[in-house]
Amino acid sequence: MSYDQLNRKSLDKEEIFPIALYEKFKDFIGNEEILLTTASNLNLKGQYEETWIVVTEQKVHILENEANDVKIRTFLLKEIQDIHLDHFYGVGSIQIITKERSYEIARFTRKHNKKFYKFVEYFKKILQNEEFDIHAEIHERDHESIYGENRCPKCGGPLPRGSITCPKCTNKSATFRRLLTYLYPYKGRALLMLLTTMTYSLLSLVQPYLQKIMIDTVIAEKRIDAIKWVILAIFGAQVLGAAFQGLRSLQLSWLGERIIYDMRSQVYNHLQKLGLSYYDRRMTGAIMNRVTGDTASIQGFIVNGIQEIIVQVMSMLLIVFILFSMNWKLTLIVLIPTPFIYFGTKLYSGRMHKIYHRVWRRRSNLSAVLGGTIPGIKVVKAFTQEKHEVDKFEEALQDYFNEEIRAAKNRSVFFPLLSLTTSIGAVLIWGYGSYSVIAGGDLSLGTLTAFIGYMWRFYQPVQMLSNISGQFQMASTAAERVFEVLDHEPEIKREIQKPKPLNLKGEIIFKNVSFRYNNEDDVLKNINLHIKPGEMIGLVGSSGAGKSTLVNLIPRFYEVTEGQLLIDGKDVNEYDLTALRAEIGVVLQEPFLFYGTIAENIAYGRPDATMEEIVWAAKAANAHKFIMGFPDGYDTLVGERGIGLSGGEKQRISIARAILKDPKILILDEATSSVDTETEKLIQEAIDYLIKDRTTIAIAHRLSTLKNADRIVVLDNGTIVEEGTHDELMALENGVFRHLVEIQSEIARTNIMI
Amino acid sequence: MNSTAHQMRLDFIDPAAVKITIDGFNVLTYTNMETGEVFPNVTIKLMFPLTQSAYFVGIYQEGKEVALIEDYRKLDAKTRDLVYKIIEKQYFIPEIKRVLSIKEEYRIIHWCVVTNRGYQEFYTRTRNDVVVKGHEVYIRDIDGNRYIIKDFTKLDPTSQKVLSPEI
Repeated sequence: MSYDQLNRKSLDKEEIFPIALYEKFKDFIGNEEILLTTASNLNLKGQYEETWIVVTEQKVHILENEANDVKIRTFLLKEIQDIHLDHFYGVGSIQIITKERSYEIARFTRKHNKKFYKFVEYFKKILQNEEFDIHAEIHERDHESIYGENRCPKCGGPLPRGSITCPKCTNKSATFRRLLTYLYPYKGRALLMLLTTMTYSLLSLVQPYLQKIMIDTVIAEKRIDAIKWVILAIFGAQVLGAAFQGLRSLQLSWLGERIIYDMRSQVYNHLQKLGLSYYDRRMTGAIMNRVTGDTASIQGFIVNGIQEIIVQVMSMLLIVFILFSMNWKLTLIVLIPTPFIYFGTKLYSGRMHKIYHRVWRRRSNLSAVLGGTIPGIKVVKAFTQEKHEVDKFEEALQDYFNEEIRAAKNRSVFFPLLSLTTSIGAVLIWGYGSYSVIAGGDLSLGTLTAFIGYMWRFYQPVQMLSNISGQFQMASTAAERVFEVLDHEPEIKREIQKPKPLNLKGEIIFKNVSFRYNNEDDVLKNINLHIKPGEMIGLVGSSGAGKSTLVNLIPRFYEVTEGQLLIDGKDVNEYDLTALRAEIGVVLQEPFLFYGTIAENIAYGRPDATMEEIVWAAKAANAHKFIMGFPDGYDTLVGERGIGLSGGEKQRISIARAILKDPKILILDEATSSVDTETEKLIQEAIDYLIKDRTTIAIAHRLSTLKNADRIVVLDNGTIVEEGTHDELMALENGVFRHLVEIQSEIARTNIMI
Repeated sequence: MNSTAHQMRLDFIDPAAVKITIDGFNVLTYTNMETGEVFPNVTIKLMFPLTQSAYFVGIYQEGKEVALIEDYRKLDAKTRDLVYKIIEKQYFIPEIKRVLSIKEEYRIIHWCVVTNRGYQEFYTRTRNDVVVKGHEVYIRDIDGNRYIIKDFTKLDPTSQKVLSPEI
């Protein structure tokens, strides 16, 4: 066994077998061929300690570090009957089962969950003598198959929240170059902005020099004729400066707005194309912030940041050049406070970063208290918790106040200190300069005045540049966040051609379908279900049984993890996504209405629908009557999330939407669960109309609504436990469905009695 | 529903009536010594794993609660030790004893800590990952692992200083 061979068979190519361990282990293992190795991060006592598992042709070796020694346990493969993975709270465990008993061979934290899923999969292949090439199967794919979605596919390092871009693997200068590409279409204007900026900063440096001429040449030599020319020059520089300032500001704003426009439209466009699972993992607020906040920070940096750097660096160099050319000794004095200013500002920024982080945390606490109570004010009042909430807010307020004061204290020490440091430079120059002027040295009064003018202009860029790295980091982080969205491949892959009507019959077959979200446990396990065209299936089960997950696979909101889902005999992945979804109608438990008129909302799936069709659909959905109750009828605006309409009304609009779309396959996800009995009746009538001639899968909370179903499928814990007609299932002694129906009738009876 | 106080009582099992055994395949069997009922293949779950790990221990068979223990420390010695061992294995919540460093880079916070399970480095991402309740701090890292600081005011001064921006 070579060291290379050992590492090549590792589940994770970044995992390197410790060389010291290899030295102790190699003789023990001899010439056995290695099939699989991996490391866990806990020992069997639950302490953080790396433990290695090496599977060979005939054996499995467990190598645990113990008090500077290695403890090796070996099992013969032929004695192992099975392998199990158990998930507990924050820890997973692998057990091998022999004829006599089971043995725990590894323990690991959640970081390794996915890796050990793979381990068990390959170990089972080994037990069944199946051939596989770990190198080809794992190593040629990326890390995503080994680690969870929170870690970088390349290096396994952590990813920022809601991001797929690894900060360690991202090249900062590449990000920066990519940012600059947004300027490229407007290079003419960018150049103009740069030129006006440079001219403006040059002009602002002219004035002290003209003052020097005024004092040394005009006043000292009493040249009255020259006054007008110098005054004209000073005035001219001011006028030109003002003109260039205006021009620059206009260019800056134009470029800034244009770039942000391009970026926002690009990001929004891309967001529309991303799969649902992208949104599942991120908070909507965070996604919206990419489009608004992050793009704004980038705009700030591209436009203000970059030109500021250019201006400041240029001014600084020019000033140093001018100062040196006027008087090198005085220049050295000017430079004395520079390191103090530079490093002092850096130190202060670092310190303030931490303090502001605390301030920010306290402020978020404040918002959290607010966000938790104001929308839920009804509950607060109903439970008379006003005092408790006020106390909670006061406490958060006090914490916030304390941190702000701490920040203020730091600010009030730093800024006076900074002025003091710079004024030391000024004092020294005034002292040494006045002495030189009076003593008749090489310094004139005009030079001294100009010097002091330049000196103040010099300290400003020093301070600004000591802060630049922070600004740069902020902008590049924002840029990465934006690029992360743009680089996110639409999760649903394998798009085929342009959408054409599919004219589906509506047959759906689940063939050994399993599904899990990320690296969690299976939500659906080995589902087999054949739904015939036009059939009405009722899907029943307790919450968390996997009902919604099952129906979400049909319009490919998510892709099956294992097995196959066929629609009209063809794998669902082979359909064009847009065409497929055009044939599927979905009515959700919580209908979402977009901002717009009721008519627009009904026509959402078919913007080309005629008014007649819209009204017809609304009538079929039992929505017409209440719509006509509004003064504006179908033109009634329904605002944010349809405020102003009751749950039942919103539901009927969404049913009308589905009726208008006329889909071949219809999914009803608890469409009647949150409405009163009267409304339920109306909705049920609408649904009865809707399901005619379509394949329908209805998830129902109220089992009475499933009497008309052709078949009822009962899910429990991700598997199908019962299947049959209403009567068949009711006839089952101890049946799950029968039990559920009995409970519901019991509740209904109690309600009637009350 | 006349007496809510009466209705709100949980049906705890008498600790003396609980016997739990484990076989070579790590299968747990619970026997109710009062009724003589035997429940093979049970699992043990905590209702408050973070805040009350000794109390409210449920025994489940195929997801159904078959017994509820109020305080497992009152069980007979053999069963108690077994329950302790199972909880110790299944609930992995390292307790942070020292905070060596916390560094933030690119919105990711990198923690180096010493726990009762040994030295560990981990990452958190948002303020929601660190929850402070009184003097207790609950942390969830990017992989979903939990950590707990039972009383941050009792950490050594350096650890407290390092921790302060995050809590």
